[in-house]
Amino acid sequence: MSKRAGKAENNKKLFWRLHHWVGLYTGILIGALSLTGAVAVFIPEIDGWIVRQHYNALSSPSPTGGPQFSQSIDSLIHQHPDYSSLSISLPDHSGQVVHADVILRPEGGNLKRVDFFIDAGKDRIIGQRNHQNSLANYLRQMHVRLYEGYWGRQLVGIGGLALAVVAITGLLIYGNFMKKQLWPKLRKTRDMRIIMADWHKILGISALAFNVVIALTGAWLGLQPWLMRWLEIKTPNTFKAAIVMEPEADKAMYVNWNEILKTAKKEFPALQPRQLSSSTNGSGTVTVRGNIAGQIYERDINLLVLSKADYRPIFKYDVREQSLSHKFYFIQEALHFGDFGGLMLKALYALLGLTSGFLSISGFVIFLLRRQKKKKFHRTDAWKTTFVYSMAVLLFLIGIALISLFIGYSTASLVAGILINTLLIGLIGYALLRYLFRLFNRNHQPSA
Amino acid sequence: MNAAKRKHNKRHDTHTEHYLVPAALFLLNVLAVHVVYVVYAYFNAVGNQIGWVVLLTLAFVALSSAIWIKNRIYLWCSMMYYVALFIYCWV
Repeated sequence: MSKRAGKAENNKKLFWRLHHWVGLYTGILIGALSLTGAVAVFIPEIDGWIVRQHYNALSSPSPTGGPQFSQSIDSLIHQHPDYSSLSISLPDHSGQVVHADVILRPEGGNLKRVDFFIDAGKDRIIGQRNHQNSLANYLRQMHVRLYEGYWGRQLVGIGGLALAVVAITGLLIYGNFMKKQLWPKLRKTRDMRIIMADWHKILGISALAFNVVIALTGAWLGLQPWLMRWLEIKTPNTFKAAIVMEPEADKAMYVNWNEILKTAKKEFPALQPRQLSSSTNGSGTVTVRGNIAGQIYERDINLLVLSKADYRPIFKYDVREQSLSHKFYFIQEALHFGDFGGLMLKALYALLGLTSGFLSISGFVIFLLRRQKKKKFHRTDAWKTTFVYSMAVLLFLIGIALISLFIGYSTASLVAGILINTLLIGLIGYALLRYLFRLFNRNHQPSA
Repeated sequence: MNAAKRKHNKRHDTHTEHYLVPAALFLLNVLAVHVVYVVYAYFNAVGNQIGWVVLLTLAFVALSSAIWIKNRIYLWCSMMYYVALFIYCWV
């Protein structure tokens, strides 16, 4: 064998080892993220359905055509003078309600985030719910940080990085593993290891680009707080208006929301307003956030800041006019969640997203069946083990969901934190002990 | 036996199977998302450019059929066609 061919062979062995070990140790995380991600792309649709069906909150037709909510907001402010933040989400379709997301900080009490539903036709409050205990919040928090408050987000980022590594190494070893096999032919055999291996290779290569994009954007979104600190990257679009009055006076100022929407349309015609928020810090401003049709950027990233006093524009952020670095920064979340092409694109994202879950399960089965071939494991044990791991993940997801919905977010977060950190310590401890045990055995082997 | 082996080798072109098909599948992933996005934009009167819908649908048909037929020249042409469209569309 020539020196070059030998080097190429060594590289392939290294890629295969990386694919094998990274997949084995992070497969369970990738599988869980794949499942939660496939559901998370439909959060707005699921939440809209729950609000309609469970809370029976619907909007009647508006007499003016536009959403009416000024009186409801005004009455909310008077009912809850202790509020510390107010954000209004406008409906995407007719019949949907306006959401007023209010953070209440009662003196001596715990912070509470309440989501009020407003009939956008009659301008009436028709219901409310605890925002943190909602299913929409569960789905988002589970996918974004596994419900773990300390480093859950970073763990998800590491999962994204691991998926990128297994996807890229999978591509590099693809030719070696396919040999004379044609894509997308499955070998005719009853050997489950070969059947799973064929599906693993064919689905893996077929959804590779999608998985690489999801993996890299997910890694960035998860590791963003660390990476931005280390690389000294500044968050784009962080405008802070000057403080011009007392916070209490700011909170008490009346806002004509219809006038705000009219001004936004005049000052920023391309903006589709989706979220309105009123300042409470003394800056005396109203922020209108929204999308620009046909653009692939993070939701509600374009904004217009208006003065509460005379509705004069103070600041405008149009992502189309920004530098490439801003555009690159804000394209990540849109590419990760696929919310720029309607329901069809979401369905495609969910379908392709589930491939990484299948790949982690099939990879694990192949690993166990190969061990069985080496007579270390029984065939039934391989399936039982896979079943137990898959059920454990499902039980974790369902258990945390039930705790979050029926007991509360903080309890669910505490339980998830304990479980995840115990598992993490166990996994790292096991890997370390295994390594030390092998090292010890190698050093104490009797020489031939 | 030699004839059967020769027939199999003729059917199995390593360069196509190990490099061109994965590259085409990679582009097909991107193209699938691109087509859905453009069709959505067209039907929601955002882009309103039927030309892009037609060009990208053609690219999708060409690339998928090229992957199925596995003709080396056809694969290269359909990939180049979509890469050109992609560059023109985004840059």
